Amino acid sequence: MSGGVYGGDEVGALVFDVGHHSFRAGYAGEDTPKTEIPSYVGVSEGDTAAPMDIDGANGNGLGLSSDVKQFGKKYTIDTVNLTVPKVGMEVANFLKDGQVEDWDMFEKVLDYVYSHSLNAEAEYHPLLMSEPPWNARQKREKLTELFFEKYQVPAFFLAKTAVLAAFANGRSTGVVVDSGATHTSAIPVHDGYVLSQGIVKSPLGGDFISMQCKQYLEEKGIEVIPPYMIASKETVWENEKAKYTKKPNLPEVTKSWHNYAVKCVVQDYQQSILQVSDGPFDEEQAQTMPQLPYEFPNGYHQEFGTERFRLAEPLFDPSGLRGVGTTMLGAGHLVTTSVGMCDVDLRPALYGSVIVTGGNSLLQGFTERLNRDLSAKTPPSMRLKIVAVTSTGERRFGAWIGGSILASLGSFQQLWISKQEYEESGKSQIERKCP
Amino acid sequence: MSWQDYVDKQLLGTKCVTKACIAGLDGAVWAKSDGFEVSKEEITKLVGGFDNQDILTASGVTLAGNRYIYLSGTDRVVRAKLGKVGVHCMKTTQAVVVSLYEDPIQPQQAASVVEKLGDYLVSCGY
Repeated sequence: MSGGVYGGDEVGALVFDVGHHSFRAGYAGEDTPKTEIPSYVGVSEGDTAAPMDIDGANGNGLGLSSDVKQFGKKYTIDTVNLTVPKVGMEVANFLKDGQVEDWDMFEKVLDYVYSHSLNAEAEYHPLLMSEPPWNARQKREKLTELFFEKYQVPAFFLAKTAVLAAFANGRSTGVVVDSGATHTSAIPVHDGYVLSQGIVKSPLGGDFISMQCKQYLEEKGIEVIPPYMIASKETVWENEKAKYTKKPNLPEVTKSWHNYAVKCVVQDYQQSILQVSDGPFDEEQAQTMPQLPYEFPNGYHQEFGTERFRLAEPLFDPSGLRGVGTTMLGAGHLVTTSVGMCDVDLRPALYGSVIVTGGNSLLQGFTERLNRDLSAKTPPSMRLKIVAVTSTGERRFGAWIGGSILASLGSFQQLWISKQEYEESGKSQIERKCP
Repeated sequence: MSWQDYVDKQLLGTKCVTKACIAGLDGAVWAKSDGFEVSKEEITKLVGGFDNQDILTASGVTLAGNRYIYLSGTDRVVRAKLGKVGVHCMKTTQAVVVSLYEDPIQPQQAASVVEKLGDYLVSCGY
């Protein structure tokens, strides 16, 4: 797969995989995306923006003033630019429920990816893009239109994230358990087709866990100070109050931007501390597990014990949650419900490859717990096998890697919707060619 | 052109479809390719499936005695598959076009052919 030697045709295709957390882009045939930028974009009113900003629409940074007048808004894209505190910059996401919602912002991000991240010209590279399996028809057609009309791509293809993730794991049939930022879903795939009637999703994903963590820290009185506010800090003893100095004359940032900065810290906390318990959460058992220390950016640090497990538990057993109660499904339940809605003949094959993907599934103990929960629920006549790669990158970029493999296959080349086909038959072509 | 011509020339003739039939929405078979024995019940069930996908999701699509696993569909298209054989059906105003394709034919190729004929039939009032 590496270096584009898959026996495939070299067409220089690009692969875009859009998620709530980040936008992955790169060349087909490579084993990791060339770039990953956050799907969060800073939006500020044109006149207050600092001249340093990189504006997606221009790419080269020239002619900024005319652009500002035209759109009245400035977009700040990519980690480097986004983490700088700026007056009046709000943080927003162009996706909603996995589908593109704010097209203006999405176009700016695309401009940025083409001009800054990849340094590629859209009209020379066929494009394979991922989409959520529940993408609405109008959105797919609009995407097709956008890429052919605005970006003049020579060929285009839309593939479902679940199918791509399955391909990345070397399967064409299986249930894909995708635990991402905004939700966890179970999607049955048969022979490279998503069985749309069997899709089950729940809004319990990484962002939800971050919120739980944030709430917990607030209740504990642990203040989360994002690094941008800290000028210096001193070493303190465990559980001792943090000693740090605030940066002087910080710009007046918006609430949404501050929250974003806090969220980044919480996410780090979540990734380094949280663990899913082996079985249903049990306070006493959790107490016997080793505690883990964590130091916040302001220098405060302490050891965390049972909460490490309690905070991650809703992913598998949401019944303990306040407010939502039993209306939501844990990850194990998602899979059984999803398989239950599929053809009887297909079920053994689906249980035979349960594919785990998505950044949130990297929480320690996620696959082990899924395995345990599922083996208890799988009918005895069926063999359960969980397919999960161990490396971080492959799990986070599952769908992108699948896209990279697919777009570099020789036999895939006839499946592209070419510009010519688009011009002859229009955007409805997408329904026909990419079911 | 007779219905048999549509099956022979428009569908099989493209080499993108291996077996096909055109039937009325009531289940009566108007024309079919050699050896593709679809029954009236099979067609009626399929036709019902366009409006109510649920009846196909659990029990699949049965054609000429073979049961195909339902993949996806809309109110005018139904896709199904079993091993190397795929099924692509399209409903028009008065008829349903059923086609089977086998590896190495790509589903997209079959879909184009079937839907092109379907669109043409709709435009003629069928």
